[in-house]
Amino acid sequence: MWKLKLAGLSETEQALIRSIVRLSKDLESSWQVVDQGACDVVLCGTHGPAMVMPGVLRIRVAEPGEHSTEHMHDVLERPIRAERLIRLLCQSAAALTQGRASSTPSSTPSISSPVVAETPAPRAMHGSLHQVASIGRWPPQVVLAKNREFIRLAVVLARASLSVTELSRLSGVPMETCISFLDALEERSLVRWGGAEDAIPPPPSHLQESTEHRHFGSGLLGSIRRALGI
Amino acid sequence: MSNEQQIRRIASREVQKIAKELHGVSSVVIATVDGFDIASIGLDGEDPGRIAAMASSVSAIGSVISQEESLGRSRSVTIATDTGFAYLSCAYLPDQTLILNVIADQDAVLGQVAYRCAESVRRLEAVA
Amino acid sequence: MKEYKILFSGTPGAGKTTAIGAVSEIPPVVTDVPNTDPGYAKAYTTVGLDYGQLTLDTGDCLRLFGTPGQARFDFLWRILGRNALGLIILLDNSRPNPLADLEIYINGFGEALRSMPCVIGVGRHDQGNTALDDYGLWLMERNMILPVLPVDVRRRADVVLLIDVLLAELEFHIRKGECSHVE
Repeated sequence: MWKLKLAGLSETEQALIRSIVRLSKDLESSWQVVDQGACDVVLCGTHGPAMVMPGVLRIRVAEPGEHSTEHMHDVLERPIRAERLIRLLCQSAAALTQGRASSTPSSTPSISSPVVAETPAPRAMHGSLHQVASIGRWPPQVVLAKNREFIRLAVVLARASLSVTELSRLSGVPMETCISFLDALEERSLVRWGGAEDAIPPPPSHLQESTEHRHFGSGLLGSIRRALGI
Repeated sequence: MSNEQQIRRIASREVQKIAKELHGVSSVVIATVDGFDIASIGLDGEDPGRIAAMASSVSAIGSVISQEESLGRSRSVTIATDTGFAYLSCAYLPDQTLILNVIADQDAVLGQVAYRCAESVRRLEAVA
Repeated sequence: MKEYKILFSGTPGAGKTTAIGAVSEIPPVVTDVPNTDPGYAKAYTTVGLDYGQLTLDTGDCLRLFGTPGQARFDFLWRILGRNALGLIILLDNSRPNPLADLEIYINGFGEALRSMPCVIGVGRHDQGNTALDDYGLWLMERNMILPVLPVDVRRRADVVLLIDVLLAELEFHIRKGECSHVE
């Protein structure tokens, strides 16, 4: 389920958007409007935040003619119309799913470049959204610092070249933590970036794909973790 | 002569005698309990160090089984195979345990090997 | 009831028996005998295997096996390693050359490491002249990436973390497998 946060919008607009999201049958994936906490997309008015978290998409609600025509795809024009909002949310979901498309440091905020231009994007974000990351060695202790999530990410990245989205999905670690981890690696020049064609196979490490591992199933791992009190 | 030297001398003599007296024996190794050979004769060129390590492992597992089942100290382990057998017997000296290991083919008679090994064990255990 | 196993190997004295005892629900079965090797400063050493177990809530059983550490027992490494879920190599950083120790196990388990998840736990990491990160670099020179973590085998949490890392490796393979299946 994708999470949508509303910022800098009037109560009427907020109520309208909530209704559209709740009632629309045309949304291809499930959306929930949240008031606080992490979100995937921020829908903001004039007084909305200038910056959003890395990896979060921003859609601006603007007056007609206020926006530049070249960025029509991440602007919701007033008055808010259901079909336009739904189309933007569908595009957002697709972009989020596909690793949030490409991003360049100089790009203007858009669905295809989720980090807003005003945000000094973390280094990892520049390369990782459509590129795949890989490591050539086990990260040094200063990076891992006994951080269980970082260790888990290192385990996964040691086995395959992955985009940030894939890394998050395969490790079960939140996207933001993945980005922090890749940033910490990049700070020490320990991460390599490659094209999508480098993703997963061939594994960068010595470990070959073993079909037998697939037979264990996640149920076994869960029961071992419970037995160990993890 | 120190006690250790005496043990090695007897061990060396016993492996030679077992190999000479028994038919079908391919190697005889006397090992420390942690798997080092102190005397050996390999008629087929086997590595005595490797046999010593294996004898140590097998003997240790035999000891665990006898302890778990309250059967007293383990005295011997026999591994019977399609073409022969391995016979391991333990010699409990006052301050150490030794393992006498005989590898034999189908020409050897298990009872004879066991009897002869028991004699060697008694000689080793008799070292004060 | 299904049975699974995790294997503990590594330098004599690094704490394989202790590590198994830290997580086993039964007192570990040990095959320790007096050590006569002056190369290792310990009174007793494992020559057969160590054994502990955990009963899972599915009724299945996770068996924890420890190998003897000395290279002369490498025949047991392969026997015990067969069909293991994963391997934990425990090293003692206070030894004269712990990277040479690591090489013994990397070579000893050889081909098995290509399909079996493996994690390296380094004990007494604050002693000796080898930095924890040197292990990762040493492995990199051999085109290998294995998790290397500091461990105090007397601390259950440390041992659990090593097992958790093995599980994370397995989980990756499962998720990747599901992913390729779906695709």
